[in-house]
Amino acid sequence: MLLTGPALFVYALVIVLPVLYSLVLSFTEWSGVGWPRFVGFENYSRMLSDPVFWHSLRNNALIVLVSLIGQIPLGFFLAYILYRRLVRLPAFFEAVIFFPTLLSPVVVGLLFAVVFAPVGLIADLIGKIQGLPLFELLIFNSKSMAIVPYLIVILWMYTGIYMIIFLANLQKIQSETIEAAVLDGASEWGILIKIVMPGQIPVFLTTSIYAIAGSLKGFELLWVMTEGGPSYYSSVLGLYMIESTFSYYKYGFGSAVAIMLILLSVVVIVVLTQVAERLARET
Amino acid sequence: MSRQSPSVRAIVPWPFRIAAWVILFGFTVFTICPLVWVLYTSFKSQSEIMRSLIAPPLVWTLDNYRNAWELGEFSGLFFNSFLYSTVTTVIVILLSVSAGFAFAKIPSRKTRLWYSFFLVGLLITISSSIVPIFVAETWLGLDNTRLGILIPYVAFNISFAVYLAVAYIRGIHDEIIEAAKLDGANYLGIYRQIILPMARPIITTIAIFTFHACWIEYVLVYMISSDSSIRTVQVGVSLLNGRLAFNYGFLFAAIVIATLPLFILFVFFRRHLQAGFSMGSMKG
Repeated sequence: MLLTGPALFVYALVIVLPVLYSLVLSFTEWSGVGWPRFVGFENYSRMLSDPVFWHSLRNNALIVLVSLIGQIPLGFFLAYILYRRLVRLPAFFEAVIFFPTLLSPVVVGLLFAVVFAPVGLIADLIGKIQGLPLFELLIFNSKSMAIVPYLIVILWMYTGIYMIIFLANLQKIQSETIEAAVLDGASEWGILIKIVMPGQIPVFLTTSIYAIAGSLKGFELLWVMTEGGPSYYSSVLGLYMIESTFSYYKYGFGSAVAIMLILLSVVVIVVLTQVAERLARET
Repeated sequence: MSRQSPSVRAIVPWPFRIAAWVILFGFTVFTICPLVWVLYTSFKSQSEIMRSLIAPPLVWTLDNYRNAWELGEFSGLFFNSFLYSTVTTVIVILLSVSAGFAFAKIPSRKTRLWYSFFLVGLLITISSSIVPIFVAETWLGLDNTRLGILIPYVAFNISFAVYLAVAYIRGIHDEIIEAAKLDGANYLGIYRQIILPMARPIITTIAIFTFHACWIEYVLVYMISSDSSIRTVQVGVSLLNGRLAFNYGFLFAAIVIATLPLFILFVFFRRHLQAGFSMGSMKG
């Protein structure tokens, strides 16, 4: 108790207490002054009938989709190429692709806001190629497309994480296994499909869970880049929570969104982890 | 290239090698381009930027950096960022290594329960619980204070640090601890004389990782600091954007300034950061 006590105390005080506190607040209506008024599940039902909530959830789902079909497979192939040394200077490529992962979300958000601005870098490029100096990029005007620039940014920024994860796991493979396969005349394709891939299935599962958790947790980058705008077109649940709380001082409603967000991430992760463990045990 | 490579590479068919080269080279170019663009634009004058956003500078100038540093009041911001990151890192190390020792090496039903209690914290971040934190801090009067930034920084970095410490300390052989016990050492003695020296590599990883996490944190400081004297580099840079929306050279110089410390971490501690990130995914 002497050893764990201090860490436990800080943790409980700062993480557990506020979450319980906002759980209570989520059943009330409160503008920050006076006493909260108990309203039962009204905040939750209002949230579930709000189109902004569903559009934000849809954008969260798209972010997960980009991870599942973009970042994770790409990260795996990049790691595989480096692991098998199919190119020269693997250390150089590894370092460069990892670097954006370390950047701060604020800086990346600001940078790509300029890249995708109506008269930003992309517009400048397209204008030069097409010979239209006044070309404007209007992707943000479309409700369904406004999230796309952000999807490109996370592909740019976070694919490196998945590459690093796969690389760490590939390096656990005994090199004798692959050397033996090579001596037996296995082709590179055969090594990839028959020897390397099966061992990486658990890693694909854990990275998928990691991606889902990440999509629910982070929104700083998007906040700085688009503020969820125009209107709510590029919003995600995290931004919806911030907007609901701080733009209108509706602490009760905002707390309901916060609880929803925390529940979603904890429940989704716990369920998925169980499923993944069962799958891993069966294979 | 190592010596066994030629024999292994000889059997790689050329379509495979070309595909590998295209994927890797393509993605690397995609990664580098925006970074290079930010870098050279930060040395470009505003009039040149207005003429063309993409062209490299004809005249290289340091004006953007001079202006950004002064107008952005970066010296104060840097002081705060370093203060929060360093203090948090020191406290997190002290707390997490001792807790990690207990969780890893003092088996009992209670420690197992508390450890899983900690692991739940891995799923919650400052940003996802910013509303509860904000409400609690205004209630306690901690908003707009340095303490109100430091306490959540410590708390939210502890879970992962404890996780890293436990995973590492578990690997230390029990025989060493048993031998020390026979020599009459108590748990605190074992902690100081065996665990701390042996855990040095993971302490470095925890330190680098925590420092990095604090350095890039944005939401908490933005939310609770109405007083500019306690703000960090990240918040300072984000606020510059609003003030000088179209002066990209100025903004990009600020971006480069804010990123320099991370670049230094990257150059010297890339392996530790990579280890932290790849372990971070396994916590699921």
